[in-house]
Amino acid sequence: MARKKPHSNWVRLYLPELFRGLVVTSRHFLVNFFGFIPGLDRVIKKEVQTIQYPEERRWISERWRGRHRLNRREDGSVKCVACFCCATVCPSGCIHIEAGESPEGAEKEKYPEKFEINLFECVFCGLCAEACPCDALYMDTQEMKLAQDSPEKFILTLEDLVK
Amino acid sequence: MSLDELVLTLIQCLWAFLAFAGVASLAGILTWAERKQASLIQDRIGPNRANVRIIRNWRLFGIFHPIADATKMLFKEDFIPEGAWRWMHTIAPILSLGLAFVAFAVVPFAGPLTIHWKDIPAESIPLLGRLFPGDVLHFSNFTITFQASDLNVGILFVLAMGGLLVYGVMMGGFSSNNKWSFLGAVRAVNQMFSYEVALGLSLVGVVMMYGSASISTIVERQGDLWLGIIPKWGIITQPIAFILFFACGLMEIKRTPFDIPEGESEIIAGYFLEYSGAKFLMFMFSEYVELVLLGAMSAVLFFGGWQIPWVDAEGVRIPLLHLNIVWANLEWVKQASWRMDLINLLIVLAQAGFFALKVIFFCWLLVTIRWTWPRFRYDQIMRLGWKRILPLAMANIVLTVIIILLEQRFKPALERILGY
Repeated sequence: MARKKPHSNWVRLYLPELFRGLVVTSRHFLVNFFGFIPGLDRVIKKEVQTIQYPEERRWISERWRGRHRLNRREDGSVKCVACFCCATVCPSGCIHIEAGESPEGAEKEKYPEKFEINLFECVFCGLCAEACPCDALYMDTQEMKLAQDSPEKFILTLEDLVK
Repeated sequence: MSLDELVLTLIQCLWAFLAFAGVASLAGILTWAERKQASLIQDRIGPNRANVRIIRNWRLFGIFHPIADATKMLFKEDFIPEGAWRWMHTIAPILSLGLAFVAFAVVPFAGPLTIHWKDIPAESIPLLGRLFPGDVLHFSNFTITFQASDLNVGILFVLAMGGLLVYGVMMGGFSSNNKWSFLGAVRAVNQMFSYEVALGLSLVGVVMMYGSASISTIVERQGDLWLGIIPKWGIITQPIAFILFFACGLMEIKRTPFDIPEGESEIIAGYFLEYSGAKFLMFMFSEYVELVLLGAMSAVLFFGGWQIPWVDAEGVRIPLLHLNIVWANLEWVKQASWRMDLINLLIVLAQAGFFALKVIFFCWLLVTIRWTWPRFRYDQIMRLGWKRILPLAMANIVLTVIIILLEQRFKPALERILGY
């Protein structure tokens, strides 16, 4: 059993130790107080780690996988050629594509009539964006607020994706 | 009653109102400042969401929280528990808050201001001089004291009010018909009575040192200089008394480390457990008023009150360094008599500002103490009070007597040696 060491006389005097405690709390207070003053915050780094979320955002990496989006060509049409690569590679099977035939003389012969991603099932693994051969599907929106007020809105349609 | 007396009485009423307004607003802001400071000490942000919409949303770090809190409290249900003693339950918070405010009547917040009213020609007074030409206005020279009531037993008055504060706590606890409230009240009464003696004794040294129990006199005499350079503040002449007074004061206002009457972790909220709404607000508010009171008393008795070191209404003086500037001898002042009055007025304003700064510093210190030191156990409090503080307070009285005697004996010789 560890025996408790008796306090030294300095500690038993009590007041100096109380004062030492005050110094610690005051240091925290002063550092944070002056750290909050605009202008001074560059000199004094505050110890408060809280990020006030709606007003302040954390930095998000470019590689971070957020909500999906579809690229457009220069003429405004959707880049996707409905090759089904993404739907095939998707581990959770959340991508539903219905292909349509392009009119005569168009550059590509297919286009997606329907392109739906079910966010309930998506695991945000990013394989679809990686598999895409024609640079159409991206996950770089940095969008993390995916909450909706009705279940239908969680199924992203073509319009949502090209927005 | 002559016109002079009437005007002076009206001025006293004004000071009473000003002291009330100042203390109430400071205590109100403290309810927010305490939470904010606690959060900064603990590396949090703290309350900052209450906003007032004028043009856009104003938050100002959450300074509007007291308004939001008070509004919320006022609209809550006023609950009186079953079996409670109705009128006592109602009167307890009123007593608590009222007595806390009354003690401020004897706190001077600036030095006496003399207006040489007679020397000013009536024609040079704007508006009033035109309306009342001749000597109607010139009743006499004014000396205004910035104090609601200059009692010659000021210290005793504050101690008495502090002693009566127990009654609010006691009545609240006893009348609530709740075991925790009752326990809180018992603890409060025991602790406050234990420390009352030591509180009084710790101030005896101050009274002896400055030769008066009137607070305005004590503050005035703290403007003297020791050895021609050190301001004779209470903290320098009576350092032990200050520590004892501060400890007993903490006890008197029931703050950490002596907050066993509330003791959140043991008896929930203690004596005001059964209070809600506006009555709870009053109890809570009275605690902050007491906090300001302890700050003000510490500033007045031990930190020179409104005294600015080396500067007073006469001039700037440091005898040891042979620095002596007298306002009245300055060329600029000699040119017109009103300039002296202007300087006096500025000095008084500066003194009031200095006093406010000292009080705010003590409020800051008290809040820091609350968020630093842990609560004492009940037996530790009793041991500290009766076996440490009380004998020390008595020893301090003896020490003070010796110092006063030595000072009287050696002061002329010292002054000769130092050459001022």
